[in-house]
Amino acid sequence: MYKVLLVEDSEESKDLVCRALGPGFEVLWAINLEKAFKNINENQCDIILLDVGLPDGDGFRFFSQLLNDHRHKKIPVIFLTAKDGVSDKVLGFSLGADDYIVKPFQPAELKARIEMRLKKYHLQQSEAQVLSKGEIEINLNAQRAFLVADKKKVDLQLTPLEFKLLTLLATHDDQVFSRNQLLDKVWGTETYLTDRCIDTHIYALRKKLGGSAGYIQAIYGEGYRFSLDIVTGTISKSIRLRKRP
Amino acid sequence: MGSNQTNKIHIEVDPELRSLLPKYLENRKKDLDNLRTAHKESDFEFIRKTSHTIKGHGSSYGFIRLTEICILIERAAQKKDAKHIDTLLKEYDEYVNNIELT
Repeated sequence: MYKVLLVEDSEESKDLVCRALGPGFEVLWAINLEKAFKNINENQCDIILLDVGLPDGDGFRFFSQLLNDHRHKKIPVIFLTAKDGVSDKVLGFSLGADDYIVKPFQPAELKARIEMRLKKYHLQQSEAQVLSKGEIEINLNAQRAFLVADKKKVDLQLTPLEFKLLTLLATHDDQVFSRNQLLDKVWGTETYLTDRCIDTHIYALRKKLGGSAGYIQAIYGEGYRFSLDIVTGTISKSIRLRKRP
Repeated sequence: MGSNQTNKIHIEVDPELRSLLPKYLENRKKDLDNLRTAHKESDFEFIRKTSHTIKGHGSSYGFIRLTEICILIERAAQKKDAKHIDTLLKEYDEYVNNIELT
């Protein structure tokens, strides 16, 4: 069920929104900005419907404040207001509103617009959590990595440490990490292991990557890096790339 | 009051909203009383705000004419046009007191 924060001082509009959205939505009603701030800090809202003319201030200012708060700035905001002037709409969109709906609205249209916005938002969120590197797909939410080839997606069945190791390397294309840096970033600074321990885990990880193991490259005397440019053979006195298995 | 059997205005309502409408119309009649009082006191800001709010939900409930009247009242209040407001409030009265839901 989606949680909708409705910042609106008219009870009639609130009733209408509740009726329009129906049972798949929980509407949290704030009749002023003070209550809106309280509500948003106490609840995880999926979307905000925001009136502009409110008893204790205007919705534009409230929206600007939300954008400066890292906890709330990604929540989709739709203005829902009787202010129908072009300058008001332009102001709303220039601030970054996801939509601007002028009252009076048609209940079915309101629901459709909210659903569309939520769908896009969740799609963007899920895309942001999936990292694709060559044939490797890393799902940060699920903490799982996959090999994608020939329209098949195979779970690599990584251990948590292998997953962290792969994610660290893959999110820093072509950056060489020393064994000590990998130990600090993956195992943490409080863990005492020999740096050669890394080699064992890299070996296990590369084995699971199979045909894509060449993305993880050993740099002679330096450490490891992730690169989509698979180079075979030794290329210089300081950098040696291992052969792709 | 402008309630007159011959002037009934038939409004086809959304079945989803039907249960909300008696209370809705009751509140619009209360608004009319408040608007009249504000008109007598030349409180144009109250008239502007109230008509702006009603404008925002009238036609969503199916009362398109109510929204239209309130758009005009809001404009008249901005211009402090008391005479026009008086005419429009009569029209508002005539409308809300003759609605018949179908």
